[in-house]
Amino acid sequence: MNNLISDLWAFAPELTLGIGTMLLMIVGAYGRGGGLKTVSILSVLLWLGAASVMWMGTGPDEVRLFGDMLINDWFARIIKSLTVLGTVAALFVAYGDIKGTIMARFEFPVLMGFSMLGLFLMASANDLLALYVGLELSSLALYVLAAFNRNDTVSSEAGLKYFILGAISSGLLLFGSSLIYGYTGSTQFDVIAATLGAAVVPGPTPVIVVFGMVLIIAALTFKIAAAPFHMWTPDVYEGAPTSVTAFFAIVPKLGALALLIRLLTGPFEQLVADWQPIVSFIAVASMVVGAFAALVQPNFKRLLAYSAIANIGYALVGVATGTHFGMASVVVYMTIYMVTSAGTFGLILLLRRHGVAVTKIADLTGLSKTHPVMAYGMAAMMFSMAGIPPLAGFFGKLAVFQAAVASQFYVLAVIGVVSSVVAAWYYLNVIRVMFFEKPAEGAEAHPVMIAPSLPGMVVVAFSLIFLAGFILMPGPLNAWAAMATESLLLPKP
Amino acid sequence: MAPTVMPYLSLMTFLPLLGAFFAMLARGENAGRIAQRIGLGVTLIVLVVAVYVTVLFDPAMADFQFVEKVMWLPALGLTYHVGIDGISVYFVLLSALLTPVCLLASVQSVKTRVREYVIAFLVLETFMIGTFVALDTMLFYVFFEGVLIPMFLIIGIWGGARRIYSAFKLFLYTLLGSVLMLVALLVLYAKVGTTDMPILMANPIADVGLQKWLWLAVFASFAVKMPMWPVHTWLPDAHVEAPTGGSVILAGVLLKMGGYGFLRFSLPMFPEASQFFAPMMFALSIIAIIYTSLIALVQTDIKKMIAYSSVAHMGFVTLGIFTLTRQGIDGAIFQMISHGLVSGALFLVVGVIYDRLHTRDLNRYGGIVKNMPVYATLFMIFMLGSVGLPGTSGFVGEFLSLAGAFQASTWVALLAGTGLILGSTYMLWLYRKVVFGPADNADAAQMEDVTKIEKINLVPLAVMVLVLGVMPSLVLEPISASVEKLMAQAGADATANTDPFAELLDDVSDGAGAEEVQ
Repeated sequence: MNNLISDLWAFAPELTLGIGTMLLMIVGAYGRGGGLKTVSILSVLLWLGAASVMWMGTGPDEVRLFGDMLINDWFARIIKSLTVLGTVAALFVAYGDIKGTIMARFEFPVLMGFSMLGLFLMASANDLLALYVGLELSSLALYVLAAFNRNDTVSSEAGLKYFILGAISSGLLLFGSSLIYGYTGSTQFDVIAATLGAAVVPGPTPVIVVFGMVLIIAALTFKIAAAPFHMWTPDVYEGAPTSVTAFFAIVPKLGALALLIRLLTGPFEQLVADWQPIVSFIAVASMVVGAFAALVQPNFKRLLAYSAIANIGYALVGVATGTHFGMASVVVYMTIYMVTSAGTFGLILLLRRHGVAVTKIADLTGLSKTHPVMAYGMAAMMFSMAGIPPLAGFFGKLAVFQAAVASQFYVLAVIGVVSSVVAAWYYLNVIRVMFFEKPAEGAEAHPVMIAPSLPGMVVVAFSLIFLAGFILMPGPLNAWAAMATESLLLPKP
Repeated sequence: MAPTVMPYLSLMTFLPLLGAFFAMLARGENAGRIAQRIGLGVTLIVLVVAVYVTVLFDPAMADFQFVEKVMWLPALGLTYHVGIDGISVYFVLLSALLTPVCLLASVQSVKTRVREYVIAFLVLETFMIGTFVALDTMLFYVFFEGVLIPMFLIIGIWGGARRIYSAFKLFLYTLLGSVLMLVALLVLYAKVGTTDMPILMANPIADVGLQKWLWLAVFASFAVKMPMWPVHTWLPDAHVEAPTGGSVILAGVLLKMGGYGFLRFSLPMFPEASQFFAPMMFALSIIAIIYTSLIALVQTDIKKMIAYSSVAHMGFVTLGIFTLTRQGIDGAIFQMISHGLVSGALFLVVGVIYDRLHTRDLNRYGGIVKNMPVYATLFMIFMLGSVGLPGTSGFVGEFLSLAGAFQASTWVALLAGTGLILGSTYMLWLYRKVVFGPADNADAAQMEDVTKIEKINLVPLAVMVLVLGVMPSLVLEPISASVEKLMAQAGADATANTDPFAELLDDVSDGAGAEEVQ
């Protein structure tokens, strides 16, 4: 009994989030006038409250709950904190866009809250079942969000597509899990690690284990939108309402990537020789596909989808090293990417033509003349995504490639930097359109206006300050990331 | 240790950034003019500081001076570490000198988005000076690569008809080279465990095989920046399309980053590899000198001709550096300083007539000497400097480089020497065509002579070209201690200097300077 109470106490952040979100649903349903504003404000308070509960209640470095189902360590805490910050930013940038449209419904922040709860469970998962529950909870909320603009067929199509492909990946995950369970007799990570460790030492890895592991990796690869399981990304990014795409781009990948790291360094730690080539291949494929496919995209959201694929590729370079240093670099990379994405989508959602967020790159033509501040802001985002110093994006790439080189993944590093040059082309192309091109004839009739959305502007301003100022203080984030991955008990080079 | 009461180097590096911030605040109808004044004021202050630092610089010391060191990213051991030695001191001065020149030159020629133009140049100055003073590999990389952002915008926004193509080419070429260097620097960090450049220079890695790979990766970056044949093709495009100020900075400072990189990274950090690849560098340099000189001969676009001549002149620099002799390296550094002044000034000179006639086609000009005597005189000084006439700065650099090359191989020197002849051919032809010749085009013949602003810009540069031509010791003496140290680090053959022929040349060049000093 005591055990259960202390477990529940340690589970307080998730409980706060879960119960609070359900209460908000009631508030929304019985409130007047759609209730988006009220529920949004309360949601932000609830999310920040859950994060505070987590930080106030941090006890020892590592807490295990519910019979080792979940684990609360620094890695989980830091991933959860980033998730909360990302979700708040996503709601901020989305708010100005959905306000006053058919999407202005209280379910929007509520679904974000449920997705966040799923991501919390994923970050803490120490058992294949907990992993599955968290992943599904998070994904189901995302499917609904993708189709949130229900009167729009494109949005519905995006939601359906995402759901069907997501269901397949869940199937893969379950199949893989069952194989692993069949071999080891447990779904608990520590038991799996011990059993596999004992099996690997005497001889080659059993085929069934490799099979199971590959299926699980494939399922997670789908969730983080890495090649060759990236096909859904451009369509869903394009089809979903831009405010939802922003959420997709900023938040859920971090959780799925954290889960992948947890799996590879936990239960599959002894299989490093088996998964390293797989992850390396996924990394290379993502970087190359992301770099080349984006070259011909006229739609900004599709461009950012391929850019997201490429960026996950860079992060996976850090994962592939399998070292403490590499995993820390992933946290650094993803944090910087998250801030850049929030800023980029924040800007897109602020720029509106006929009351709708701009989606074509051509819509930005001559922006430096009409809205110079926005244009320079966007240019900073693009240079940062291209990894040009002194902006923050460079330091993300630096961390990842430094980890790769330290572990002697020279080929991976060279492919990475070369594909980053290819990718630079399409980021520069956005800048070209804004700065070097004159506005088209008759463009005055359909001017790009700036939405008066204060929360969106706050996110963009914060993002810009972060990108430009990161060079002055790169220390704290790196230290934070190192602290997070310290608890994964990995070898240091 | 030289006086370090004031963080002069950081002051020079970040003052322009502060200026850019204030220029950004300029509003209203006169925003452009206010920004120009702020820009000129700030860059002139930086120039004064740079001169002051050069005067304070202790030529007897081979070590870094004015050193500042602050922890930057403890987790990776990165430091904010800056300092200058004999090799970098004149590049800092050159950057500080040419930025106000560019801003002044743009007062008349740039009419649109003046405020942004000034900001771009101020940011560019921060990155340029930062590149030359950085003593941490990552800090160096940040500045080195950061240069691309303002340069991309300068060419893309204020450039000519094909500006977009040129801006992209410049950016992507340079970036591709740079990222390979980044990997090499990371490997170096992984192997040696530090990003501190003085430590890396003093402790080259022992594994010669790895050294060669790293040398190649670093080479990719600096060869593009330099630019060396066959990766030079971005340069003519960028030069032609850039606005005058952009061309001046590009020729005057950015190309020098390549040569500086070879001296700072390749030679001391990978000495064995540098010796191994020296023959390749000779071959590429000779091809650059002869081949691009021949291309320059057939150009009818004035800017393109000067751009190709830059590639040829940079060929002398790489040649000099990789002779690994005292004369060669002295010559290379001198040639870079001289080329910075001469080619920067030549682009200004071209800008003067371009502003009046708006064409770069050299057949549209002719007979302008009658109406523009002052212009013709200034143009002649720079033209002769580019040709390498004794008495101008161009002579000393090319002569010393060739003297160094002679010790390496007579054939190399002979082939490179033909470049001098070709160089004078096209430059004299250009001069004859533009300045003399029949005044076929009335509008060209009736252009007005240089204005006051143009004079303020060009006359000091002309004086410097002449002064350095007769007093090369002004540059050669302060750099000598550092060059000697560099030679020792590069493991250059110490017996090279005992070659009687070399000693003779050494005496000649030193003696010429010494006499002038007295």
